[in-house]
Parts: sequence; C-alpha cells; structure tokens
Amino acid sequence: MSLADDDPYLAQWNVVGKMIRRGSSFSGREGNCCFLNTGGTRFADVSAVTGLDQIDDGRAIALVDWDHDGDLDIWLGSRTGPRVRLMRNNLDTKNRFVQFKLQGNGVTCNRDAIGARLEIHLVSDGGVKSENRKLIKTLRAGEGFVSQSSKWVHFGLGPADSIERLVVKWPDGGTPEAGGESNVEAGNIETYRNLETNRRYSIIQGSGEAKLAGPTARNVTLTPTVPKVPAPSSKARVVLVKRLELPNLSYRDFDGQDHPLSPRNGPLLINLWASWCRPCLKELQEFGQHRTEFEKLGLQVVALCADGLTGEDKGNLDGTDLTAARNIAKRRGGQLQIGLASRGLVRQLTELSHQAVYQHRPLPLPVSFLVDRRGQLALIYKGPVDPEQLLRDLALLDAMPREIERAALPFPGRGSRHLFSDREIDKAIAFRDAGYPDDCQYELRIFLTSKLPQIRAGGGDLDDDARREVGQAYFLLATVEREQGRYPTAVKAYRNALQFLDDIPNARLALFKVLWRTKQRQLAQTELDEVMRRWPHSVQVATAIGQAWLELGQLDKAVEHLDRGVQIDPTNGPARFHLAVALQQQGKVGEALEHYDRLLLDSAVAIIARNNIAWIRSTHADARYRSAEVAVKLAEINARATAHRDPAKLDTLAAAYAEAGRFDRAVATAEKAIVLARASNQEQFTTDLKARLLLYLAKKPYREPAVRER
Amino acid sequence: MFGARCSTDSSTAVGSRQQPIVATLVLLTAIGCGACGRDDPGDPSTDSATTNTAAGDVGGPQHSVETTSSDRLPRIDPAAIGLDAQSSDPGAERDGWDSEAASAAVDAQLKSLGKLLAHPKTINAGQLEKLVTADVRCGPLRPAKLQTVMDDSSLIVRRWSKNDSDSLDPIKLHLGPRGFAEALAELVKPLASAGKIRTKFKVVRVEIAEETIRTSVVYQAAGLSKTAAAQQTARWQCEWRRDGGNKPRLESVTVVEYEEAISRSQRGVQFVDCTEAVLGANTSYQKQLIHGIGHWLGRIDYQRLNDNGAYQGLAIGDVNGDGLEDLYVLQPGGLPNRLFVQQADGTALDTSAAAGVDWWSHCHAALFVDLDNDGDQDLVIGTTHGLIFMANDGQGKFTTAASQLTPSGVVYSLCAADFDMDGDLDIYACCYTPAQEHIKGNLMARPMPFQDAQNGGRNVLFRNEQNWRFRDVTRQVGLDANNHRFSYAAAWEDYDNDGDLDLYVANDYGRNHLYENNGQGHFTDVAARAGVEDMATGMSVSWADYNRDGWMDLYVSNMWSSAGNRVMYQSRFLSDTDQSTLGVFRRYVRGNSLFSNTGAGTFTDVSLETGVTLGRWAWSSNFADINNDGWEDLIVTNGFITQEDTGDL
Repeated sequence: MSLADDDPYLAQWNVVGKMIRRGSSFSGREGNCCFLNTGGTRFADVSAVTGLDQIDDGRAIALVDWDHDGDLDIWLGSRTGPRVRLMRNNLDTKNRFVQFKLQGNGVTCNRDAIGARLEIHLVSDGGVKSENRKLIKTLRAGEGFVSQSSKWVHFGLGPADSIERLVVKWPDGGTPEAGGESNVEAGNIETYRNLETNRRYSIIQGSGEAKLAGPTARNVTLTPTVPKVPAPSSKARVVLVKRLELPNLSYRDFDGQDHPLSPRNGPLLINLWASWCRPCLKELQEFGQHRTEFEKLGLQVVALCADGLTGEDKGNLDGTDLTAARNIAKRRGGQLQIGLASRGLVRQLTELSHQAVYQHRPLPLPVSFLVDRRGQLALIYKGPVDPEQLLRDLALLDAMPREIERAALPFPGRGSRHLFSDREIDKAIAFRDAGYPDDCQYELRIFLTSKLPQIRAGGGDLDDDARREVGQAYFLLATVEREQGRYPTAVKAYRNALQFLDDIPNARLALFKVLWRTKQRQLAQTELDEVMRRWPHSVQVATAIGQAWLELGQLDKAVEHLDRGVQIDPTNGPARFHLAVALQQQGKVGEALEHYDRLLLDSAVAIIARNNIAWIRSTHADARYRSAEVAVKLAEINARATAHRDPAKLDTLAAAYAEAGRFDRAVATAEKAIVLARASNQEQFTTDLKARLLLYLAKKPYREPAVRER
Repeated sequence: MFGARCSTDSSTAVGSRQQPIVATLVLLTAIGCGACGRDDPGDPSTDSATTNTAAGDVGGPQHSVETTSSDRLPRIDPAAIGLDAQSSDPGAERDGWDSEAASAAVDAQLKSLGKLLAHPKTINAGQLEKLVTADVRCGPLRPAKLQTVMDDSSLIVRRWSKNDSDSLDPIKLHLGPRGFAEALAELVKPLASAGKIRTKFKVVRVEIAEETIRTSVVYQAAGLSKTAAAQQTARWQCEWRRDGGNKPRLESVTVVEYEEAISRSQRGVQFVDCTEAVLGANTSYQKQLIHGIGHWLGRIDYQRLNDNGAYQGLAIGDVNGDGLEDLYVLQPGGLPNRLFVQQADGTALDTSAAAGVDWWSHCHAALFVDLDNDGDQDLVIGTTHGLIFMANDGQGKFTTAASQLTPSGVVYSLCAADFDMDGDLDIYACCYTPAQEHIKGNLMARPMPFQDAQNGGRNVLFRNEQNWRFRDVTRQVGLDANNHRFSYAAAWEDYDNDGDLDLYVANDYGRNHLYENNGQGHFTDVAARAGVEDMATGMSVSWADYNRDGWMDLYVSNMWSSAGNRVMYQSRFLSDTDQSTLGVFRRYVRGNSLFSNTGAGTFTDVSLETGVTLGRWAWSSNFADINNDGWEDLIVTNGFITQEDTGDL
C-alpha cells in the first residue's frame, strides 16, 4: 500500500511536520495525570494533590522505592527539560507495605525471575474484606512506554498489619533431565509464611525462606527544588558531520559591483550583520582586529549587511540609504570584504541551514557560515563568533572524520554504527534467517537496483569488493528463489551471480543442483565439469560435489566424489562424514560404521555420528548391527551433550532404552522428545515420535524398515 | 484546524460519500484539533493553570522555571526573504465548524471565570457582568450531599453524581450574578482553605442553536500550599446566550458530576521534585539533561539528530550489586545515554563513560536484565538500527557482547520474558517505524489506512540461545501474525492464569494485539475474541489487578482529544457520517482504556465508568499503588510537543 507524494492525505502529514520543524507546538503544555483507585470500581483524579501534574511533554515512567522508605517514587522521562525528574513520594499514611526481591535458580528459571507471579494473602480481619484478601503482582522487565521499573516487587497492604502467606509461582520450565520426574507444578510454587509488614525481603528460589534484605535503615534526605531550565538561546555553534555543498552565491559591494561568493584558495567565512544590531557591530570590530591572523591562515571573511531583512527595522534593502551601514563597515570592519546581502542570498543560506539541522527557524543576526576550501559548508555560528573559537575551528576543516564527529557532538560518547551493518545484503541475510524471504528479496533488489548501471556495463566499473557484493546479492537472491521453488528465476540469478563471483564453487554448484533438479541434465553437467576443471584437487570442492549428489539422491555419484575427497585428505572430517552418510544410505552399513568410527576422533561431527550409530545399534532390522549397550551409552552421551533439549537425540535415546528393554525410561524419554518436537513445530517428527511411543508403551522396541543393501 | 489549511474545505470532506481517504482526513483533522490551543492555551502567562509556577515554593506542582537570558537574538523575518512565514495564529482558521468558533469563545469566557475563582474572597456580582446573564441560575456547584468514597490516613475523596442523587434532595437555587457569585465562592471554599487556587476548564461537547450554546465542560481546580492540598474535578452542563458578535454569556450551570480530593497530610502535595538533589551535582545533568530536546535540535547536525519526538525512556536496575537502584537515561541521536549510580545518601553519580554505556546512537529504550544468568544486571539497548547486548562484569562495567540488526523497523519499547521457559530471558522489541521512515526524518509516521494502519515496522522476538546468541524467532513462534503495525509498547502477563506468559502489544493508528501463549511458546492473536483490540492510538501497556479479583487487568494509553470529542459528537457530524464510521472515530478520540479481566478469557471495557479515559495525549501510563492502600492507582504522562511558538497545532 503506498500513496503518491502529492496525495492530499500525505500532504497533511507533511504540513504538520513542517510546522513542527518551524516551532509550532502540537498538543503541548499538558500536565501529567494521576488517578487514584478508590476501591476497585472507580478512580479519582488526584493529579494536583499528588503534585504529579507537571507541565512536561511526559514520556517515561520508572517506578522504584529509590530511598527505601516504603513507598513508590517515580522517575519521569520527558521531552522537555529537565529530561528526567525524580518525584519523591512523601506519603504520609498509616498504610503498610512489603517488598520482595526474587532470585531464580538461573538454570531452569531465569535468574531475575522475570515473569514470576506473587500472591499475598492477607488475614481477613483488620478491615480487609474477604474477597479482597488476595493481592497479585507479576515481576516484569519493560512495561508502560519505553520504560523499565524496579525488579523489587512492592505491595501496599492498606491498614493490614499481618500477612497470612506469600505464594510465588516461579517462571520455571521444570528440570531438563529426560525421564526424570518433572512435577512442574509442585516444583514451581513456593509458599512463605511468617512475613511481617513494612519489611523488605529477598527470596532465593528453592531456599524455602524469605530473608530480610538490607540496607535496612537508610537516612536519605533530599531537598525538593524546582529545576531551573535555562531560557532558550538563539546562540549556537553547529559543526556539520556531513558537509553541505555551497550553492552558487554572489553579493554586491557598496559600490554596486557584483562578486561571486565562493572560497579562493582557502576557507571562507560568510557573515550576516545589520547596522542596528549591537552584537553584530562588536563582532565586526573583532573581525577587523583579527584580520592579519585570519589572512595568515588563508581565511577570507565576507561580512554582508542584512539591513531591511529582519522586520525590526524599516531599512531599505533596495539601496536608497545605506550610508549608516557603509560608515559602520568602514569604521568597524577595517579592510574586511563588506557588501550587501540580497533577499535571494539570505534565502539560500537559510535553506542551507535547514539542511544542517532539524529545526527550521529564521536565522538570527549575526550569523556566520564557515566554508572549507572545497566549497563545503562546515560550520554555522548563530550569534557572534568568538574569533579564538574560529581560529580553532579552522583546524577542524581538514580534520579526519572521527575528529569532526567528536567536534560535532556536544558531549563525548560512543557511536554504535560499527555494530550495525547498513549494507542491504546484511539486512537481507537477517531477514532470510528470520524467515522473511520477501523482505530479503526486497533489500536485495534495492541494492541491485542501485548498482544497475554498473551491472549493465558488465561490472567493469566496480572494484573487487563491490563485485563480490553484487555477486553475493545475486547468490542470495537465487537461494531465496530456489527455496521458494521458483527455479527459472533462481537459475537466472545464479548465472548473474557467477558473473561477479566466479572464484567460488558454491554458486556454480548451486546452479548445477537446480539445473539437475529441473531435468536440465546436460546444462547441469556442464557446470559440474567446469567446477571439476577449476578445482580438481580440492577436498572441499570434492566434498561439496559429493554433498550435492547426495542431496540429489545420486548415491553412487556422491560416494565417488566423497571417496575422492577422502583420498585427497584422509583427515578431512566433512568428506569422511558425508561419505559415511552416503554409504549408510546405500545400505553399506559396515563401511559406514568404519568411517563413523574414524569420525569419532573428530568432535565436530561426533554427535551426529554417535546419534546415527546409536540409531543403527538400536533399530536396525538386522540383529547383527544392533547393540543395546553401545546404543544406550552413545545416546546418553549425546543427550547430555545436547542438554536433553534436542528431540532427535532424545528419540534415539528412547529407541536405545527400548532396545535395552528399559521401557519405562524409553516412554519417559519419548514423551519429553514429543514435547520438544511439538514446541518447535516439527509436526511430522512429532507424529513419528508418537508412533514409536505407542510401541514402547506396548513394551516393543522400534525397528527401522529394512533398506536392501545395494 | 490544519485540515482547513490543507484541504480546501474540510466540510466537503464530511460529505455523505464516505470514501476511506475522506474519512481519514476528517479524523486527522479531529486529532489535530484535539491538540489546539483551545485545550491548553499556549501562552503560559495568561493560563490560569500555569500561572502559579511560583507554586513550586509552596509545595505545589513543580513546573520548571525558565531562567531569564540575554541570549535572545534578533531574527531574520522569513517573509522578508521570500520564505512563507508561519501563521501566527494557527487557530484562526477553523474547519468551517461554527461550533468550534463557539467553543473558542466559551473557552475564553471560562478562562476569565477561572481568574475570578483564584480570588474567591473578592468575587462579586460586578465582576460577573460580562460573563453571565442577568438571570443566570445554578444549583450548588459543590453539591451538599457528597458521598465519601475513600477516607484513609492520607486522603479523603468525596463524590456526587446527578444520576445517583436523590431527586427529593432539596436544591438551593442560586439566581442572578449575585447568587452565582455566592455559588462560586462556596465551590472553591475547600480549596481556599488549602492554599493558592488554580483552575482549568476543558470544553468537551458543544452544541449550538439559534440563540444558545450548550457545552459540556470539565472543571478542574486545586488549592495547594506547603501544608495542604485539595482539588476538585467536575463536569458541568453550561448554557450560554449568544449575543450577536459579543461574547457568549453564561445562562445556567448544571453540575453532572463532582469529585473532590483533600489531603489529610500536613506535607502539602504527596510527591516532591528531588531531581536536583539527586542529580544536580553531575555536569551531565546541568549541561545535558536540564535542556529539553528543542535546545539540541538547532545545534546538532541533522545527520545525528533528526527526531523532535524525544521518545526516550528510562531503565532502573542495580548495576553494581550494592543493593541500591540505579538509573539509565536514554537519549536522542548525538547525545550520550546516561547511567546514574545511586550512592548511600540517595544522590546519584554519572558513570556512563567508565561503565561503557554512553551511546549516542538515538536509543529509545533499554532493559537491565541478567541475560547470562551469572547474577548481575546486563543491559540490552534499542537503537535505530538494532539491539546492543552488553555484559555486566558485576561491578557496573559493561562490554558489548552481541548486537542484532533489526532491519524491519526502529526499536521503541522493549520487554523481556522467558517465553519458552527454558531458563533464560528472551527479548521482545517493538519496531514502530519502518527503518526507512526514520532515516527520512519524518517526525510522524504515515499510517495507512489511518484508523487501521498496517504499514508500520515489524516487531521482533529474539530468543536467547545462550552464550550471547540471540535469534529472531518471531515468525517461528507465531508472533508474526498482524505484525505490520505501529507498535509503541508491549508487556508480558499471564492474563489467563495458565502459568505461561502472554503478550499485549499497543499499536498507534489501529488495533492492538493480545498474543496468547499455548504453553509451548507458540502464540495466537486473540485480541478480537478477548475484546481488547482497543482500536485507537495505543502508546503504552500496563497490567495489574485493579479490582483485586485475582485476574490481571489491562490499561492502555491513547490520545484523548477534547476537540476530537466535540467534533465527533456534533449533530452535523452525526448526520453526515454513517454509524459504523462514527463509532470508529468516536472510539479513536475517547482516550485511555481500562479492560477488566473477566477470568474467562475475555475482558470488559470499563474505561468510562471507572473514570480513567481522560489522560490527554498520553504516553507511559502505569499502574502503581502510590498510597500503599493495596489498590492499584494510575500515573499517566502526557503532552506531545511543546515549543516556543505558542500557537498549538
């Protein structure tokens, strides 16, 4: 859904935006509100009597008992100054409170215990209605708007001075041990008694007790004041991070001669002044005094009179009487270049200043623009320029970007740009990883469109990095197209990728696979031959080819290349691993086992190897290959190695237990696997697991359908 | 009002041809109007609500004081150089709504009335001559038979409603200017005994007839001193006599609702501003945080700072494990975030640079959470481009451990929970604006369609995969349903008490979401079924059991607009708009929403009867039991953009 820029609807938004940039308020000068709950049916407006009705552009609320005096203080965040306020609660009441800090076990429950539900049960006498005995709170991290409050859970208790009990429901998923008793309910809920009111307690999960927490007696005296916000000032020194090209400008001198306004062999300061503006005149005088210094540094100062442009004077830009200005210029400016600012010139400078900063305000007087020798606007001075500052700023003109950045920001700090790639390709990768192929393609298309002219020209204009980037973009595009089953476009994109990325085999092999899948066998073979021709002795390439064949279900061809890879480098893990897989699929289990055994030395793939061994040892139809003892041992190693969270590994472990006749364990383990598989939405796998679970319940082991040895 | 300027004649926009875009223009107009100077007069010197900035020293509302400055410079007149100047009175043009002009006139009269109320002892009939008719009439403005709805050691609240009141209750009638003066003096008596009086009126409904104007008015007043505090809130039906070009004069006042809250404490208002006492010693407070964002928008390169909204948040956490809570303040582009570490005496010191958290990359929100379960508070920060995950060394020093691009939008609110109960915390990030919009520097979004926009950024759930790896699992867990909205805020809660955490997401310009967790970490949006779509301008989410029935209730902030209300209830608007569109629009301008959890998977909208809609242009709006009575109260921050030009859009 998109609308043209001239759409009346968008135009309205644009007008609003423009007016705000020029200084309009928009629903401003509103006081914060506070509503008091008067017994669960209605709220009363207490904005004023609480003192919370500041006229701020309020944004954030963070609640915390900052001073530990038993009531909630409020940190407020605002758009207006001061940007933060601590509103200290001076609550004067007989009401009681209790506060808790929770700590989860950090294994099955997050250490902060975020998500814990706390229930206070009050004793029902003491003025508390029986239906209101229970108070509940949840420990949260992040709520309201852009705000996070304290992790101390604060309960107001009213006049009640005794607590019957506290119940904590920990956000705990239970023990991860497969087959172990996971009585989630019982383990997650703890009850605490003997709690006193007006106390702070810390509770560690499983400890069974609430401990009094310190510091207990804090004597915090903070004197309330009304923050003094400085009045707005028009003075500013703006250092541009990104310099702006000065447009073609010119001015007229007092003798009516026109001059171009652009740097000559050095930096240029364009200054606007008016004859009636006192700070301007003082500034002019100072410029005159520093003239030699400026000249030495090559700085050219052009001071232009803007009489008649401010609306404050009746002055006459049209040149009837500039005597005053001319006299002042002579007296104060000495030998400075002096002239007249035209409406057009001031408009151009104003518009330039609007590109430099967000605010679109009228320019003040005096105002100066420092332009570097290349004709780029580098600094704007609103208000008088301090000549010493100007001299320092000249050094900035040729500084490194980092130094300019530092000077451009009012306070030191750190940028995060280096943490976040702004390349469309990286965004595309992020989108693909998260499962958004359309957005991935969108980013890639933006990138490729931006490079289209060079791409059309064959890429000759691109440097190596840029070539690689274009190639990667096409490669990713092709991958996504292939994953979406759009093979013809995928092929096209692979071919484009190869134009820019011909020094890696992956793209060509990917193309080969798609061609093969789409029955273009001859074209596929051509690509494969090309890969073989280029990389005849690479174990990686041999492995990649073998894998490709494996994916395509061509086991003999896969074995051929993988075997070749293993011959090239017998220590290469991936080559041997895939070879073993291919052999296993071929039914050559004996050979596969030999390779897997070798692989056990290689921990990177050992888990998969152990799993597949355990699976064969548990489930093979041929009793010769089965060994319950080995299977259980390896499957248990694997289950531990994957923290009992990988349903596939638990599936194998269950099968091994079943093969060992330990059906109770098999059932428990399979159940756990089902939960995990379902949670990760593996529907087919869940169905398979359920089928096996039924076998184990019937005290039968699982048998893999036989694959005839080929 | 800007509707008038942008569409040639918005009265045509309210025509019976209800093209979606036309409807949208009307709505946009209404929202804009809601912000008009009529609600909150821009000139602080004449606004009775803001005149007593000095109230700060009597313990009153702590409005900031601007110090005087000689830094004002003359400005070049944009008109003189051919740039179109800004209208000095944006309220001058109204959308052809006579009623809005009437409302403005009434507003001016009410303001004069407010000034009289500030000095109750001197109110007399003569002063009222220009404000009321000779036969003005009203009952007691402070009803005699008030019901005490709350009375504890800190506060007493009394209420009266026309609907509940006994009709046999004899009402004393006040007649004529003299009688009216009496009624006014009696009204503010409880305030006068508390302290200095300030008042404020809002016109929320207006109806004009040949000779009269009927308005529904919200009256707010307070009397504050160092030792006492009292306030009144009432709703009045006012009838005004129109008198040609003259100002309308008040003919009658009928009190519909009345409420007063009177502090029992000798300490004045309950909350006092201790900002300077805590932060004042830090240069970063004096030089940086004391200024509103307006100060910086003309000083920092647009490349670094291009957002006037200042949607920056706060995070509380104990960064060094000393048992004292610390504060992290997020900052707009070009200004470094600030970490203040609390000292034993309650003051706080800026350690941002040494702690390694002084990012200036336009951050909106951050959370202190233990991401690696090692017992200290780590930090996750949302920036324009993505999330930064920082590991705490236990002493309050942080190092960047991971970063995660969020190409689908600019991050606003963050909330953490272990949604899959695997023992570590996962992070949900609201991504309001599509990233491209922010880069363009558009202050506001361009929602389409306005009332049900689906062109926002896409929110992301990052699953903690341990060892500082985080993976975008949004789509995988079902949270990508309806995930193209302008999401400002979200919060986790077990709304159905089934032991897992569900997620509520507040969206600007449209429907909100309630994602129910199936216990396996997979989510389904059940907002419509549960009755919490709250189709309006969602800004904030807060959960609490406000009625103590054992089920978590929901408070969502929106924009309340008095002008929006006025326009939406106009008979003319009524006749020109079909019922369903009207329903949508009225709902849009209603304000904040409170949803009471029924315990059966649904919620009841109790916003109006509980009296919590009028939060104005609301942002963070949180439940908090501020008086320790065991009942959850509400705090609502609000206000959009206050700038030096007092003409409010």
